[in-house]
Amino acid sequence: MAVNKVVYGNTTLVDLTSDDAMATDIASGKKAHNRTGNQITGTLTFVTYYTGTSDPSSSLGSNGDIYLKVGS
Amino acid sequence: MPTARLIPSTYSFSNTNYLTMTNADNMYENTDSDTYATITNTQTGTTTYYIYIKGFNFDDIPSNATVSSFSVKFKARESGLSTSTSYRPYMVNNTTTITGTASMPSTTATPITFTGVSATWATIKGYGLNFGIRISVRRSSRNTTGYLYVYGAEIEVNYTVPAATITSTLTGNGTIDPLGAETVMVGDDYELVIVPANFSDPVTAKRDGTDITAQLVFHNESDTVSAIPGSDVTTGFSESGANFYQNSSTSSDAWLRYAIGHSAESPYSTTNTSNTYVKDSSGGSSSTATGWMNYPFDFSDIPPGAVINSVQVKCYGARENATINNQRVARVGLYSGGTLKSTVQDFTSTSNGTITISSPGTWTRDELEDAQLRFEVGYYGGRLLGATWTVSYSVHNYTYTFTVTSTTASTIDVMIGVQDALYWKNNGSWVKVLKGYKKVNGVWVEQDITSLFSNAQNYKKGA
Repeated sequence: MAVNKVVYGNTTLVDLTSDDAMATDIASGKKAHNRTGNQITGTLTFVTYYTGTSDPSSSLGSNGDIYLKVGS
Repeated sequence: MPTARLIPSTYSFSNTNYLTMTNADNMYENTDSDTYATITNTQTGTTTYYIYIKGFNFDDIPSNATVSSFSVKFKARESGLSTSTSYRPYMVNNTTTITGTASMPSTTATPITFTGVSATWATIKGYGLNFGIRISVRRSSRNTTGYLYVYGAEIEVNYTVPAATITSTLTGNGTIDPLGAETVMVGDDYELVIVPANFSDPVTAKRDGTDITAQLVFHNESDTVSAIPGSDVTTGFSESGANFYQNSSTSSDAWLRYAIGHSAESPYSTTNTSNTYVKDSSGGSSSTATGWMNYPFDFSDIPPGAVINSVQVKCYGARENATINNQRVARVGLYSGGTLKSTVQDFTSTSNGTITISSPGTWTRDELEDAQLRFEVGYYGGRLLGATWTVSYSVHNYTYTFTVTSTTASTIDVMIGVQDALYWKNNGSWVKVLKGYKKVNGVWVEQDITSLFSNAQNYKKGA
Protein backbone atom coordinates (compact mmCIF):
# COMPACT_ATOMS: atom_id res chain seq x y z
CA MET A 1 0.00 0.00 0.00
CA ALA A 2 1.37 3.34 -1.04
CA VAL A 3 2.21 5.85 1.67
CA ASN A 4 2.04 9.57 0.96
CA LYS A 5 2.22 10.99 4.46
CA VAL A 6 4.16 10.03 7.60
CA VAL A 7 3.35 11.61 11.01
CA TYR A 8 5.35 10.90 14.13
CA GLY A 9 3.53 12.16 17.19
CA ASN A 10 2.55 15.67 16.29
CA THR A 11 5.30 16.03 13.75
CA THR A 12 4.79 15.47 10.02
CA LEU A 13 7.90 13.77 8.68
CA VAL A 14 6.84 13.25 5.06
CA ASP A 15 3.88 14.74 3.17
CA LEU A 16 3.41 14.17 -0.56
CA THR A 17 -0.26 15.11 -0.69
CA SER A 18 0.39 18.56 -2.12
CA ASP A 19 2.91 17.46 -4.74
CA ASP A 20 1.80 17.93 -8.35
CA ALA A 21 4.50 16.23 -10.42
CA MET A 22 3.18 13.72 -12.94
CA ALA A 23 4.81 11.26 -15.30
CA THR A 24 4.53 13.73 -18.16
CA ASP A 25 6.61 16.24 -16.21
CA ILE A 26 9.51 13.95 -15.58
CA ALA A 27 12.23 12.99 -18.02
CA SER A 28 11.53 9.76 -19.77
CA GLY A 29 12.66 6.74 -17.71
CA LYS A 30 13.29 8.59 -14.47
CA LYS A 31 11.43 7.33 -11.42
CA ALA A 32 9.63 9.34 -8.73
CA HIS A 33 6.46 9.26 -6.61
CA ASN A 34 3.27 11.11 -7.13
CA ARG A 35 1.11 12.67 -4.43
CA THR A 36 -0.65 9.38 -3.74
CA GLY A 37 2.70 7.82 -2.93
CA ASN A 38 2.77 5.56 -5.97
CA GLN A 39 5.92 5.29 -7.97
CA ILE A 40 5.75 6.81 -11.42
CA THR A 41 8.11 6.67 -14.39
CA GLY A 42 8.71 9.83 -16.36
CA THR A 43 7.54 10.06 -19.98
CA LEU A 44 8.81 13.54 -20.90
CA THR A 45 10.97 13.49 -24.05
CA PHE A 46 13.30 16.12 -25.44
CA VAL A 47 14.86 16.80 -28.76
CA THR A 48 18.45 17.78 -28.26
CA TYR A 49 19.72 20.74 -30.19
CA TYR A 50 23.27 21.77 -30.76
CA THR A 51 24.70 25.01 -32.02
CA GLY A 52 27.86 25.98 -33.83
CA THR A 53 29.31 28.35 -36.36
CA SER A 54 30.30 25.62 -38.81
CA ASP A 55 28.49 22.69 -40.39
CA PRO A 56 27.69 19.86 -37.96
CA SER A 57 30.13 17.00 -37.48
CA SER A 58 28.75 13.65 -38.58
CA SER A 59 29.68 12.13 -35.25
CA LEU A 60 27.61 14.66 -33.34
CA GLY A 61 24.15 13.83 -31.97
CA SER A 62 21.55 11.19 -32.62
CA ASN A 63 18.67 10.74 -35.02
CA GLY A 64 16.06 13.44 -34.50
CA ASP A 65 18.51 15.91 -32.99
CA ILE A 66 18.73 19.46 -34.34
CA TYR A 67 21.74 21.54 -35.18
CA LEU A 68 21.67 25.30 -35.60
CA LYS A 69 24.44 26.90 -37.57
CA VAL A 70 24.66 30.46 -36.31
CA GLY A 71 26.58 33.53 -37.30
CA SER A 72 29.81 34.06 -35.48
CA MET B 1 -23.13 54.89 -55.70
CA PRO B 2 -21.66 55.24 -59.19
CA THR B 3 -23.48 57.31 -61.76
CA ALA B 4 -22.98 56.90 -65.50
CA ARG B 5 -24.23 59.21 -68.19
CA LEU B 6 -24.61 57.25 -71.41
CA ILE B 7 -24.42 59.48 -74.45
CA PRO B 8 -25.56 58.93 -78.04
CA SER B 9 -23.23 58.13 -80.90
CA THR B 10 -25.40 58.18 -83.99
CA TYR B 11 -28.66 59.43 -85.45
CA SER B 12 -31.03 58.97 -88.35
CA PHE B 13 -33.72 61.04 -90.05
CA SER B 14 -37.24 60.09 -91.00
CA ASN B 15 -36.60 61.99 -94.20
CA THR B 16 -33.24 62.54 -95.79
CA ASN B 17 -34.37 64.82 -98.58
CA TYR B 18 -35.38 67.77 -96.45
CA LEU B 19 -33.49 67.28 -93.23
CA THR B 20 -29.80 68.14 -93.01
CA MET B 21 -27.30 67.98 -90.22
CA THR B 22 -24.19 69.97 -89.41
CA ASN B 23 -21.73 69.41 -86.57
CA ALA B 24 -23.27 66.11 -85.52
CA ASP B 25 -20.37 65.41 -83.15
CA ASN B 26 -21.55 68.27 -80.95
CA MET B 27 -24.64 66.37 -79.84
CA TYR B 28 -22.71 63.24 -78.88
CA GLU B 29 -22.30 64.72 -75.42
CA ASN B 30 -24.28 64.73 -72.21
CA THR B 31 -26.62 67.57 -71.32
CA ASP B 32 -23.82 69.67 -69.83
CA SER B 33 -22.71 70.48 -73.36
CA ASP B 34 -22.64 74.05 -74.61
CA THR B 35 -22.04 73.24 -78.27
CA TYR B 36 -24.70 71.98 -80.58
CA ALA B 37 -25.54 70.16 -83.74
CA THR B 38 -27.89 71.89 -86.12
CA ILE B 39 -30.75 70.09 -87.85
CA THR B 40 -32.42 72.06 -90.60
CA ASN B 41 -35.82 71.37 -92.12
CA THR B 42 -35.60 72.74 -95.66
CA GLN B 43 -39.00 71.65 -96.89
CA THR B 44 -41.54 74.32 -97.71
CA GLY B 45 -44.45 72.84 -95.82
CA THR B 46 -45.53 71.58 -92.43
CA THR B 47 -44.93 67.88 -92.75
CA THR B 48 -43.83 66.17 -89.57
CA TYR B 49 -40.30 64.85 -89.76
CA TYR B 50 -38.15 63.45 -87.00
CA ILE B 51 -34.60 63.05 -85.92
CA TYR B 52 -33.83 59.86 -84.01
CA ILE B 53 -30.87 60.27 -81.65
CA LYS B 54 -29.48 56.84 -80.87
CA GLY B 55 -26.40 54.77 -80.17
CA PHE B 56 -26.26 55.06 -76.37
CA ASN B 57 -23.31 53.07 -75.07
CA PHE B 58 -24.81 50.60 -72.64
CA ASP B 59 -21.42 48.91 -72.27
CA ASP B 60 -20.49 51.76 -69.90
CA ILE B 61 -22.57 49.98 -67.25
CA PRO B 62 -20.87 46.82 -65.90
CA SER B 63 -22.80 43.68 -66.75
CA ASN B 64 -23.11 42.70 -63.08
CA ALA B 65 -24.35 46.12 -61.98
CA THR B 66 -27.63 46.58 -60.17
CA VAL B 67 -29.35 49.63 -61.58
CA SER B 68 -31.24 51.53 -58.92
CA SER B 69 -32.60 54.33 -61.10
CA PHE B 70 -32.24 55.95 -64.47
CA SER B 71 -33.58 58.94 -66.35
CA VAL B 72 -33.55 59.96 -70.00
CA LYS B 73 -33.01 63.56 -71.02
CA PHE B 74 -31.77 65.80 -73.77
CA LYS B 75 -30.74 69.42 -74.15
CA ALA B 76 -31.96 71.36 -77.16
CA ARG B 77 -33.58 74.54 -78.40
CA GLU B 78 -35.60 75.34 -81.50
CA SER B 79 -36.26 78.05 -84.03
CA GLY B 80 -39.26 78.01 -86.34
CA LEU B 81 -40.53 74.61 -85.20
CA SER B 82 -43.96 73.64 -84.04
CA THR B 83 -43.96 73.20 -80.26
CA SER B 84 -47.45 71.73 -80.14
CA THR B 85 -47.76 68.84 -77.71
CA SER B 86 -48.98 66.81 -80.68
CA TYR B 87 -45.39 66.64 -81.83
CA ARG B 88 -43.66 66.24 -78.49
CA PRO B 89 -40.56 64.05 -78.15
CA TYR B 90 -40.89 60.35 -77.52
CA MET B 91 -38.55 57.61 -76.57
CA VAL B 92 -38.23 55.04 -79.35
CA ASN B 93 -37.11 51.54 -80.09
CA ASN B 94 -35.65 52.23 -83.51
CA THR B 95 -38.55 54.31 -84.90
CA THR B 96 -41.33 52.80 -82.79
CA THR B 97 -42.42 54.94 -79.88
CA ILE B 98 -42.26 53.50 -76.38
CA THR B 99 -43.63 54.89 -73.16
CA GLY B 100 -41.99 58.13 -72.10
CA THR B 101 -42.56 61.62 -73.39
CA ALA B 102 -41.04 65.05 -72.94
CA SER B 103 -41.94 68.63 -73.66
CA MET B 104 -40.84 70.24 -76.91
CA PRO B 105 -37.68 72.33 -76.79
CA SER B 106 -38.17 76.05 -76.45
CA THR B 107 -36.06 78.81 -77.91
CA THR B 108 -33.80 78.53 -74.87
CA ALA B 109 -31.40 75.65 -74.52
CA THR B 110 -32.55 73.65 -71.51
CA PRO B 111 -32.18 70.03 -70.39
CA ILE B 112 -35.51 68.28 -70.77
CA THR B 113 -36.27 65.07 -68.89
CA PHE B 114 -38.64 62.42 -70.17
CA THR B 115 -41.56 61.62 -67.93
CA GLY B 116 -43.78 58.59 -67.76
CA VAL B 117 -40.85 56.25 -68.33
CA SER B 118 -42.42 52.96 -67.33
CA ALA B 119 -39.97 50.63 -69.05
CA THR B 120 -37.43 48.91 -66.82
CA TRP B 121 -33.72 49.35 -67.25
CA ALA B 122 -33.52 45.81 -68.64
CA THR B 123 -36.02 46.75 -71.34
CA ILE B 124 -34.24 49.96 -72.22
CA LYS B 125 -30.88 48.18 -72.31
CA GLY B 126 -32.44 45.38 -74.31
CA TYR B 127 -33.16 47.76 -77.15
CA GLY B 128 -29.40 48.28 -77.48
CA LEU B 129 -28.36 50.60 -80.28
CA ASN B 130 -32.00 50.90 -81.35
CA PHE B 131 -32.95 52.81 -78.22
CA GLY B 132 -33.29 56.46 -78.98
CA ILE B 133 -34.98 59.79 -78.60
CA ARG B 134 -37.34 61.06 -81.28
CA ILE B 135 -37.67 64.81 -81.70
CA SER B 136 -39.97 66.46 -84.20
CA VAL B 137 -38.58 69.05 -86.60
CA ARG B 138 -41.95 70.04 -88.04
CA ARG B 139 -42.06 73.64 -89.18
CA SER B 140 -44.48 75.96 -87.39
CA SER B 141 -44.99 77.89 -90.62
CA ARG B 142 -44.62 76.39 -94.08
CA ASN B 143 -42.51 79.27 -95.38
CA THR B 144 -40.19 79.63 -92.39
CA THR B 145 -37.17 77.39 -92.18
CA GLY B 146 -37.17 75.31 -89.03
CA TYR B 147 -34.10 74.58 -86.96
CA LEU B 148 -33.45 72.23 -84.09
CA TYR B 149 -30.26 72.69 -82.10
CA VAL B 150 -29.24 69.63 -80.09
CA TYR B 151 -26.54 70.05 -77.46
CA GLY B 152 -26.55 66.55 -76.07
CA ALA B 153 -28.58 63.68 -74.72
CA GLU B 154 -28.05 61.12 -72.01
CA ILE B 155 -29.36 58.28 -69.97
CA GLU B 156 -28.27 58.99 -66.43
CA VAL B 157 -27.91 55.72 -64.55
CA ASN B 158 -27.37 55.17 -60.85
CA TYR B 159 -26.05 51.71 -60.11
CA THR B 160 -24.09 49.57 -57.72
CA VAL B 161 -21.59 46.88 -58.52
CA PRO B 162 -20.41 44.07 -56.19
CA ALA B 163 -16.80 44.70 -55.35
CA ALA B 164 -14.08 43.62 -52.96
CA THR B 165 -11.43 45.66 -51.17
CA ILE B 166 -7.94 44.35 -51.85
CA THR B 167 -5.25 45.83 -49.63
CA SER B 168 -1.57 45.44 -50.37
CA THR B 169 1.32 46.20 -48.03
CA LEU B 170 5.06 46.39 -48.59
CA THR B 171 7.92 45.65 -46.24
CA GLY B 172 11.40 46.30 -47.57
CA ASN B 173 12.98 48.37 -50.30
CA GLY B 174 11.17 48.71 -53.58
CA THR B 175 7.76 49.61 -54.91
CA ILE B 176 4.46 47.87 -55.45
CA ASP B 177 1.55 49.05 -57.54
CA PRO B 178 -1.12 49.35 -56.32
CA LEU B 179 -0.13 50.05 -52.71
CA GLY B 180 -2.87 50.15 -50.11
CA ALA B 181 -6.59 49.57 -50.46
CA GLU B 182 -8.08 49.10 -53.91
CA THR B 183 -11.70 48.45 -54.80
CA VAL B 184 -12.01 45.79 -57.47
CA MET B 185 -15.26 44.75 -59.06
CA VAL B 186 -16.21 41.11 -58.85
CA GLY B 187 -15.20 39.48 -62.09
CA ASP B 188 -12.31 41.85 -62.72
CA ASP B 189 -8.63 41.02 -62.38
CA TYR B 190 -6.46 42.38 -59.60
CA GLU B 191 -2.95 42.96 -60.86
CA LEU B 192 -0.01 43.70 -58.56
CA VAL B 193 3.37 44.83 -59.91
CA ILE B 194 6.41 44.48 -57.63
CA VAL B 195 9.68 46.22 -58.41
CA PRO B 196 12.49 45.53 -55.87
CA ALA B 197 15.10 48.23 -55.36
CA ASN B 198 17.70 45.46 -55.66
CA PHE B 199 16.80 42.45 -57.70
CA SER B 200 19.23 40.33 -55.69
CA ASP B 201 16.90 40.75 -52.72
CA PRO B 202 14.46 37.89 -52.20
CA VAL B 203 10.80 38.69 -52.81
CA THR B 204 8.10 36.86 -50.92
CA ALA B 205 4.39 37.47 -50.56
CA LYS B 206 1.43 36.24 -48.57
CA ARG B 207 -2.24 36.55 -49.34
CA ASP B 208 -4.41 36.48 -46.27
CA GLY B 209 -1.53 34.84 -44.43
CA THR B 210 -0.94 32.08 -46.99
CA ASP B 211 2.35 32.10 -48.85
CA ILE B 212 1.89 32.95 -52.54
CA THR B 213 5.55 33.46 -53.42
CA ALA B 214 5.42 30.60 -55.91
CA GLN B 215 2.64 32.41 -57.80
CA LEU B 216 4.69 35.54 -58.40
CA VAL B 217 5.70 35.80 -62.04
CA PHE B 218 9.15 37.20 -62.69
CA HIS B 219 9.61 39.25 -65.85
CA ASN B 220 13.05 40.17 -67.11
CA GLU B 221 13.01 40.90 -70.80
CA SER B 222 13.26 43.48 -73.53
CA ASP B 223 11.29 42.92 -76.67
CA THR B 224 9.65 44.47 -79.70
CA VAL B 225 6.13 43.43 -80.63
CA SER B 226 3.83 44.42 -83.46
CA ALA B 227 0.06 44.43 -83.74
CA ILE B 228 -2.42 45.03 -86.52
CA PRO B 229 -5.96 46.46 -86.37
CA GLY B 230 -8.00 44.23 -84.09
CA SER B 231 -10.94 42.19 -85.24
CA ASP B 232 -12.96 42.67 -82.08
CA VAL B 233 -15.41 44.86 -83.89
CA THR B 234 -18.18 44.57 -81.36
CA THR B 235 -16.31 46.12 -78.48
CA GLY B 236 -13.19 47.57 -80.03
CA PHE B 237 -14.29 49.20 -83.22
CA SER B 238 -16.23 52.39 -83.02
CA GLU B 239 -17.16 55.11 -85.39
CA SER B 240 -18.58 58.56 -85.28
CA GLY B 241 -20.00 60.43 -88.20
CA ALA B 242 -22.83 60.39 -90.62
CA ASN B 243 -23.46 58.87 -94.00
CA PHE B 244 -20.18 57.09 -94.31
CA TYR B 245 -20.04 55.49 -97.64
CA GLN B 246 -17.73 54.59 -100.42
CA ASN B 247 -18.53 55.27 -104.00
CA SER B 248 -18.27 51.79 -105.43
CA SER B 249 -20.64 48.88 -105.45
CA THR B 250 -19.04 47.31 -102.38
CA SER B 251 -21.06 47.70 -99.21
CA SER B 252 -19.94 50.69 -97.23
CA ASP B 253 -19.76 48.71 -94.02
CA ALA B 254 -17.06 46.50 -95.47
CA TRP B 255 -15.06 49.52 -96.50
CA LEU B 256 -15.32 51.11 -93.10
CA ARG B 257 -13.64 48.10 -91.59
CA TYR B 258 -11.31 47.40 -94.43
CA ALA B 259 -8.08 47.61 -92.44
CA ILE B 260 -9.11 45.20 -89.70
CA GLY B 261 -6.69 42.31 -89.51
CA HIS B 262 -4.24 43.72 -92.01
CA SER B 263 -0.80 45.19 -91.61
CA ALA B 264 0.78 48.11 -93.39
CA GLU B 265 3.18 45.65 -94.96
CA SER B 266 0.53 43.19 -96.13
CA PRO B 267 -2.76 45.05 -96.55
CA TYR B 268 -5.98 43.38 -97.54
CA SER B 269 -5.86 44.57 -101.10
CA THR B 270 -3.75 46.89 -103.14
CA THR B 271 -5.67 46.38 -106.31
CA ASN B 272 -9.11 47.37 -107.47
CA THR B 273 -9.12 50.24 -105.07
CA SER B 274 -9.85 53.01 -107.49
CA ASN B 275 -13.02 54.85 -106.70
CA THR B 276 -13.30 53.17 -103.32
CA TYR B 277 -13.11 55.69 -100.52
CA VAL B 278 -14.58 56.09 -97.12
CA LYS B 279 -15.98 59.55 -96.65
CA ASP B 280 -18.31 61.58 -94.49
CA SER B 281 -20.86 63.21 -96.73
CA SER B 282 -23.06 64.55 -93.96
CA GLY B 283 -22.41 68.18 -94.69
CA GLY B 284 -22.00 68.27 -98.43
CA SER B 285 -18.94 69.13 -100.48
CA SER B 286 -18.36 72.46 -98.75
CA SER B 287 -18.78 71.10 -95.24
CA THR B 288 -15.91 70.66 -92.81
CA ALA B 289 -17.76 67.86 -91.05
CA THR B 290 -15.64 64.76 -90.54
CA GLY B 291 -16.27 61.28 -89.30
CA TRP B 292 -13.87 58.75 -87.87
CA MET B 293 -13.33 55.11 -87.17
CA ASN B 294 -11.30 53.79 -84.25
CA TYR B 295 -9.33 50.60 -84.83
CA PRO B 296 -8.25 48.77 -81.64
CA PHE B 297 -4.83 47.18 -81.18
CA ASP B 298 -4.14 44.41 -78.70
CA PHE B 299 -0.98 44.69 -76.58
CA SER B 300 -2.14 42.54 -73.70
CA ASP B 301 0.89 40.26 -74.10
CA ILE B 302 3.19 43.03 -72.88
CA PRO B 303 3.75 42.30 -69.17
CA PRO B 304 2.23 44.70 -66.64
CA GLY B 305 4.59 47.38 -65.43
CA ALA B 306 6.69 47.24 -68.59
CA VAL B 307 8.48 50.42 -69.59
CA ILE B 308 7.52 51.43 -73.13
CA ASN B 309 10.70 52.54 -74.85
CA SER B 310 9.32 53.43 -78.27
CA VAL B 311 6.23 53.30 -80.46
CA GLN B 312 6.10 53.26 -84.23
CA VAL B 313 2.94 53.19 -86.32
CA LYS B 314 2.76 52.74 -90.07
CA CYS B 315 -0.43 53.01 -92.10
CA TYR B 316 -1.10 51.93 -95.64
CA GLY B 317 -3.70 53.82 -97.63
CA ALA B 318 -4.43 56.86 -99.73
CA ARG B 319 -6.46 60.02 -99.89
CA GLU B 320 -9.25 60.70 -102.39
CA ASN B 321 -8.20 64.19 -103.37
CA ALA B 322 -4.65 65.46 -103.63
CA THR B 323 -5.51 68.74 -101.93
CA ILE B 324 -5.39 68.79 -98.15
CA ASN B 325 -7.88 71.17 -96.57
CA ASN B 326 -10.88 71.15 -94.24
CA GLN B 327 -13.13 69.39 -96.73
CA ARG B 328 -10.49 66.99 -98.00
CA VAL B 329 -9.56 64.94 -94.97
CA ALA B 330 -7.91 61.50 -94.76
CA ARG B 331 -5.74 61.35 -91.69
CA VAL B 332 -4.70 59.13 -88.81
CA GLY B 333 -3.89 59.66 -85.14
CA LEU B 334 -3.12 57.51 -82.12
CA TYR B 335 -5.47 57.44 -79.13
CA SER B 336 -5.53 55.90 -75.72
CA GLY B 337 -9.22 55.74 -74.97
CA GLY B 338 -10.46 59.15 -75.98
CA THR B 339 -7.12 60.94 -75.54
CA LEU B 340 -5.02 61.85 -78.56
CA LYS B 341 -1.41 60.79 -77.96
CA SER B 342 0.29 61.55 -81.25
CA THR B 343 0.46 64.05 -84.02
CA VAL B 344 -2.37 63.73 -86.53
CA GLN B 345 -0.99 62.85 -89.91
CA ASP B 346 -2.52 63.14 -93.36
CA PHE B 347 -2.26 60.66 -96.15
CA THR B 348 -0.56 62.80 -98.73
CA SER B 349 -0.99 60.81 -101.92
CA THR B 350 -3.91 59.62 -103.98
CA SER B 351 -1.88 56.48 -104.65
CA ASN B 352 -1.73 53.75 -102.08
CA GLY B 353 1.36 54.06 -99.91
CA THR B 354 2.74 53.84 -96.42
CA ILE B 355 2.95 56.73 -94.01
CA THR B 356 4.65 56.61 -90.62
CA ILE B 357 3.32 58.76 -87.82
CA SER B 358 6.21 61.05 -87.10
CA SER B 359 5.51 61.80 -83.45
CA PRO B 360 3.69 58.82 -81.97
CA GLY B 361 3.95 60.18 -78.44
CA THR B 362 5.13 58.78 -75.14
CA TRP B 363 3.15 55.81 -73.93
CA THR B 364 2.77 53.80 -70.76
CA ARG B 365 1.85 50.15 -70.49
CA ASP B 366 -1.56 51.09 -69.05
CA GLU B 367 -2.27 53.48 -71.91
CA LEU B 368 -1.61 50.69 -74.40
CA GLU B 369 -4.50 48.77 -72.82
CA ASP B 370 -6.81 50.97 -74.89
CA ALA B 371 -4.62 51.68 -77.91
CA GLN B 372 -6.58 52.86 -80.93
CA LEU B 373 -5.76 54.16 -84.37
CA ARG B 374 -8.27 56.74 -85.54
CA PHE B 375 -8.89 57.17 -89.25
CA GLU B 376 -10.70 60.44 -89.91
CA VAL B 377 -12.29 61.41 -93.18
CA GLY B 378 -14.09 64.40 -94.63
CA TYR B 379 -16.39 64.83 -97.60
CA TYR B 380 -13.43 63.93 -99.75
CA GLY B 381 -12.11 60.99 -97.79
CA GLY B 382 -9.61 58.24 -98.20
CA ARG B 383 -8.93 54.59 -97.67
CA LEU B 384 -7.07 52.72 -94.95
CA LEU B 385 -5.96 49.28 -96.09
CA GLY B 386 -3.79 48.19 -93.19
CA ALA B 387 -1.67 49.34 -90.28
CA THR B 388 1.19 48.10 -88.13
CA TRP B 389 1.74 49.32 -84.59
CA THR B 390 5.14 48.40 -83.17
CA VAL B 391 6.13 48.73 -79.52
CA SER B 392 9.55 48.23 -77.94
CA TYR B 393 9.52 47.63 -74.21
CA SER B 394 11.58 46.40 -71.34
CA VAL B 395 10.38 44.94 -68.10
CA HIS B 396 12.07 43.87 -64.88
CA ASN B 397 9.55 43.09 -62.17
CA TYR B 398 7.35 40.55 -60.46
CA THR B 399 3.61 40.39 -61.03
CA TYR B 400 0.77 38.69 -59.21
CA THR B 401 -2.67 38.53 -60.80
CA PHE B 402 -5.93 36.94 -59.77
CA THR B 403 -9.59 37.29 -60.62
CA VAL B 404 -11.81 38.66 -57.89
CA THR B 405 -14.64 36.18 -57.44
CA SER B 406 -16.40 37.47 -54.34
CA THR B 407 -16.85 40.58 -52.24
CA THR B 408 -14.64 39.14 -49.49
CA ALA B 409 -11.81 41.52 -48.59
CA SER B 410 -8.27 40.30 -49.08
CA THR B 411 -4.83 41.41 -47.94
CA ILE B 412 -1.58 40.88 -49.80
CA ASP B 413 1.67 41.39 -47.89
CA VAL B 414 4.81 41.77 -49.98
CA MET B 415 8.27 41.48 -48.46
CA ILE B 416 11.37 42.53 -50.35
CA GLY B 417 14.73 41.55 -48.85
CA VAL B 418 12.95 40.26 -45.80
CA GLN B 419 12.87 36.56 -44.97
CA ASP B 420 11.43 34.63 -42.07
CA ALA B 421 14.37 34.38 -39.68
CA LEU B 422 15.32 32.39 -36.57
CA TYR B 423 17.49 33.82 -33.82
CA TRP B 424 19.23 32.13 -30.89
CA LYS B 425 20.15 33.97 -27.72
CA ASN B 426 23.69 33.23 -26.67
CA ASN B 427 25.47 34.93 -23.79
CA GLY B 428 22.86 37.65 -23.73
CA SER B 429 22.96 38.41 -27.47
CA TRP B 430 20.64 37.26 -30.24
CA VAL B 431 22.48 35.51 -33.04
CA LYS B 432 20.84 34.82 -36.39
CA VAL B 433 20.53 31.18 -37.35
CA LEU B 434 22.01 30.75 -40.80
CA LYS B 435 21.05 27.13 -41.38
CA GLY B 436 19.16 24.43 -39.58
CA TYR B 437 19.82 20.68 -39.69
CA LYS B 438 18.09 17.59 -38.46
CA LYS B 439 19.83 14.26 -38.09
CA VAL B 440 18.05 11.61 -40.12
CA ASN B 441 19.37 8.05 -40.35
CA GLY B 442 22.72 9.19 -39.04
CA VAL B 443 23.10 12.07 -41.50
CA TRP B 444 22.58 15.78 -40.88
CA VAL B 445 19.99 17.02 -43.37
CA GLU B 446 19.39 20.76 -43.88
CA GLN B 447 15.86 21.86 -43.05
CA ASP B 448 13.63 24.87 -43.62
CA ILE B 449 14.29 26.86 -40.49
CA THR B 450 10.72 28.16 -40.43
CA SER B 451 9.48 24.65 -39.67
CA LEU B 452 12.42 23.37 -37.65
CA PHE B 453 10.77 23.75 -34.27
CA SER B 454 7.32 22.75 -33.08
CA ASN B 455 5.18 23.86 -30.15
CA ALA B 456 4.35 20.22 -29.47
CA GLN B 457 7.96 19.25 -28.78
CA ASN B 458 10.38 19.92 -25.90
CA TYR B 459 13.98 20.86 -26.53
CA LYS B 460 17.16 20.83 -24.55
CA LYS B 461 20.60 22.13 -25.29
CA GLY B 462 23.13 19.47 -26.09
CA ALA B 463 26.57 19.57 -24.61
